Amino acid sequence: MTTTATDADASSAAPDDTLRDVRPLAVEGLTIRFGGIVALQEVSFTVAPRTIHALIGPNGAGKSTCFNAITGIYQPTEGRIRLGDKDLVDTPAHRIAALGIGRAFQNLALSGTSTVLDNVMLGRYALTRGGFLSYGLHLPWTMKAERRHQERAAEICDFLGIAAHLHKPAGVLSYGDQKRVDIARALAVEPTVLLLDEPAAGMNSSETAEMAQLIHDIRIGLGISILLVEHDMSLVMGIADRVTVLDFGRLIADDVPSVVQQDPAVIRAYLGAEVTDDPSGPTHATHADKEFPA
Amino acid sequence: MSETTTPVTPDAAAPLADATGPATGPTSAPVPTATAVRGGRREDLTRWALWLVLAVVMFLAPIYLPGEYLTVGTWVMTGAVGAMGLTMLVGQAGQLSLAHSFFLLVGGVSYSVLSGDGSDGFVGLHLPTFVALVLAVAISALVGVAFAPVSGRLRGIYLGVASLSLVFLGWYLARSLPSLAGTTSSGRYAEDLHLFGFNFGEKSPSLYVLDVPIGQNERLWWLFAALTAIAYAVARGAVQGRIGRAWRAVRDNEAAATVMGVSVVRQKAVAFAVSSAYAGLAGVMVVWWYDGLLKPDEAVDSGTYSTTVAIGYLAMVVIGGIGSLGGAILGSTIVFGMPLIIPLLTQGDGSGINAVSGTDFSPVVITNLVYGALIVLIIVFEPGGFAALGRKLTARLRRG
Amino acid sequence: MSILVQVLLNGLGRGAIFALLALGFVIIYKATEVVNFAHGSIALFGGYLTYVLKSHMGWYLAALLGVLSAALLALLLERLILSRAKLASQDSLAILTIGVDIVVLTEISRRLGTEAAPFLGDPYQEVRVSILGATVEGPQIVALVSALVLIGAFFAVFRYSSWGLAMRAQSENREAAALMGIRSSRVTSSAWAVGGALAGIAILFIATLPIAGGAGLTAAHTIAFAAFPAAILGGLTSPGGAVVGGITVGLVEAFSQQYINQDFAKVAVYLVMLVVLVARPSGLFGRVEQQRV
Repeated sequence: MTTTATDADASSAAPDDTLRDVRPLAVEGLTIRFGGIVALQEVSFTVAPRTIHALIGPNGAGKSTCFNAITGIYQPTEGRIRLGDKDLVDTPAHRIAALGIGRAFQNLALSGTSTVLDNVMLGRYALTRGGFLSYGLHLPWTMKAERRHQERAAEICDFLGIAAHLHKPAGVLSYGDQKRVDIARALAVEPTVLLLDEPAAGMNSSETAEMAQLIHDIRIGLGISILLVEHDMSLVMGIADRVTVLDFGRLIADDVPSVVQQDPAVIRAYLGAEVTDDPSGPTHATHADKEFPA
Repeated sequence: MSETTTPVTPDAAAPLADATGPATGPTSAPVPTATAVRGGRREDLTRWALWLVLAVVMFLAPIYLPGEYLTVGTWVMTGAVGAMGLTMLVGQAGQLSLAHSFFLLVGGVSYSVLSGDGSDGFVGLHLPTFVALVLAVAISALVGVAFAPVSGRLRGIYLGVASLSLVFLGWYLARSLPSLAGTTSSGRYAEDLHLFGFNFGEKSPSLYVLDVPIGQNERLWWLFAALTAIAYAVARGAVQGRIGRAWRAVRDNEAAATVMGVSVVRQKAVAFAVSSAYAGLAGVMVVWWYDGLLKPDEAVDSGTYSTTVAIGYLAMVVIGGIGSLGGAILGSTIVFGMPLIIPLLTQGDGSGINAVSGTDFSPVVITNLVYGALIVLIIVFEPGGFAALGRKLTARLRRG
Repeated sequence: MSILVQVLLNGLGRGAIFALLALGFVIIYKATEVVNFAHGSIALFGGYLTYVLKSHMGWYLAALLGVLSAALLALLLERLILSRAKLASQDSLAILTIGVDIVVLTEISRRLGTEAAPFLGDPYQEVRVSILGATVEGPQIVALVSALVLIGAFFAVFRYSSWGLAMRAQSENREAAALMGIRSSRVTSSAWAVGGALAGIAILFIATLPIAGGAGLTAAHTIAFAAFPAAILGGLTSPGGAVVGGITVGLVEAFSQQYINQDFAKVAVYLVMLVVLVARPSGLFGRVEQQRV
């Protein structure tokens, strides 16, 4: 409780000229069962370093379950998840952030009454030290480190265009800005892999284009891997380097966007039928899904 | 600002001109962030000035106020320290606890046992009083940690009612162990605080300030004021810092907190430890306030360590504003202060708490009706309590 | 042997009373998800009215009015106060009922003041019956019988009437029930009224010499407080659990009182509740609520 505050490692306190050491995120044979329900069945894919990797699939395909498994909220029934050579399944959930995995949430999960800065600073938790007494007694080195981390958080907010709202309660911001606060918080972890859970949810086409640009900027600017779950195909096909498609917990495609778009299994999953020229062909619907590949 | 307002093609290899990516070198880090983060100089100065004024007022109060008012103030301060601990647990960390009066008892008993001289059949280790104080607070913290795992299993009201068991347990143990907690008829007496030879319980003082004898009442006032101020400052630092953020994350969304690196189990334990430590300190202050007397309660729902007091602490926290330290102090002024100040203001003869039976509107009755009604009104109209009302008021004043 | 029977019967008698209180408490929780900490005060309010009126209009009429007034107070609490607290979370609403409890308890205690012998059990207070070598007091018998009848009636209504169906539907999924045409406010109000009425009935047995001792009505609130651990250990969403919880609490109290001491009896109930909760966080028969990530 009274550990002293040490400087966070230098690469997080000052803007880094060198790119971060980004390892591949490998999901291997991931199987998750909840009682009788099989949410994921032997899913394997790898997020190559510094790429944007999209995880798509109809509703209920298991995408969020996969995310939750990576961040340690769910324990896999079988399978491994590795970041480089570090086994994430063996790591306690609260230590995964320190390994460099940052996550933005589908439902934002912000503290509405706390300020934007306060929310983003939560992302610095794994990079800071100091318990009740270090902060309570205002120990000088703790305060100095805190100041430095706040400045970094402000930088990140500036990069995301929300620096004007730093001291406002997060709850008063627009939905789009709140999403950016969520992403800022995930970036504050100084991740090597950024997990974005439906970043374009609830956005119109111009907002989605902005989000696409932002994701692109993050990848270029920070040189990190980005894994995103998304329904919006224009976003996915536009920026993803690789696309993994899930359906009913199984992996049905894993390739570059142009190939996946043409994959008949993928089309069938979304539309529920073979795409043939015969209009009287079988058309049983398997999913009530609005989005389908462009 | 790097607001992206123009739609851009995803193929652009370079970020927009005014997007200051963190990896593009220190020279592109915008200067404003440093000052954007710091509060203004003016706010710092005002805060220091207020603290100074407060310190002067608290120092001079015993000189000018009669003893009966000082006892009201010191009683309110015991409540303030306890309430600050509870508001951190309930408001910041989101763990509902109704066990606060149990930890008051733990603190009081620990101090009495550690500092007592072992006479009259009571257990006493005769440690120096300051050491006994620190250890008593530490013991309360440890007992709090021992209960913390229950908060991993239970949430909300279930946790609250479960924590009530501690009050019952404490009541029973105190009555069953008179050698530790004092006899039920006459209790036991604990040592006054001695610090570097200065006796805070001195009844025949030779110290005079401005021709006013500085006896026990006055010294206790200064001691309690210092303790309350320290308790407040430490709590504030923690709440504004890393621990506060972790607690609020645990309160709002445990899964999200874990993903951000917070060990939920550990932070709940820390919250219970801190809250119990504050309650333990308040418990020692209560013993000092009663002239060193520690006595187990007759009934579990009435008395210094009763369920009624536990609920009273919760009332302080709710009225003041859940999570607000200043609100906790205000809450204590209402819940603990009113029953004592009313007889002073109405009769002026300062005979202390009137134990009135019969159907009079005694000060206790009035206080209960007021704070019970306040709880209802606040939850219906302003769940953020007086703290939220205060914030809205200052915001409006700043604008207008 | 006869001591064992005596303790058992004492426990069952008190347990029946706690079951009535806990049942009312659970009905309210099931319909509205509010933990009603004012339950004891509502009971006290009904009891106070009965006490004040019985010398003017006879016990039976006074008791009836007392029960109705308790139901009315509960109803008013829900309609006038709780339904207005739109900003509050469920936990906050529970704390709100604590505030109400404080106000009502303080005011009624003040009025009772130092009344001599505020007892309510006039028709059955003096009755004594011998069973298997043990003496059973009037209030306990009446409590047991009334509890059996009322609880039985309640379960029948709960299972077979449209009101019971509406209650269960609303408890399961408020929005879906509303979409099905169930008037949420009606179910809520009636639940509170029924809960209040049960409290008003229970007080008639509590404020008697064998149960409350010499203090009568003035000790009733403290005694009624044991209904909370009873309801919670049974599971707040289960009426059956409330009955089981009530009987358990009554028996635990009786046995602790006999074989350890009076003080411990009070603690024992809470310790049992704590142990049950740690083993089963939603109580014996309650259901766990899932949280979405």
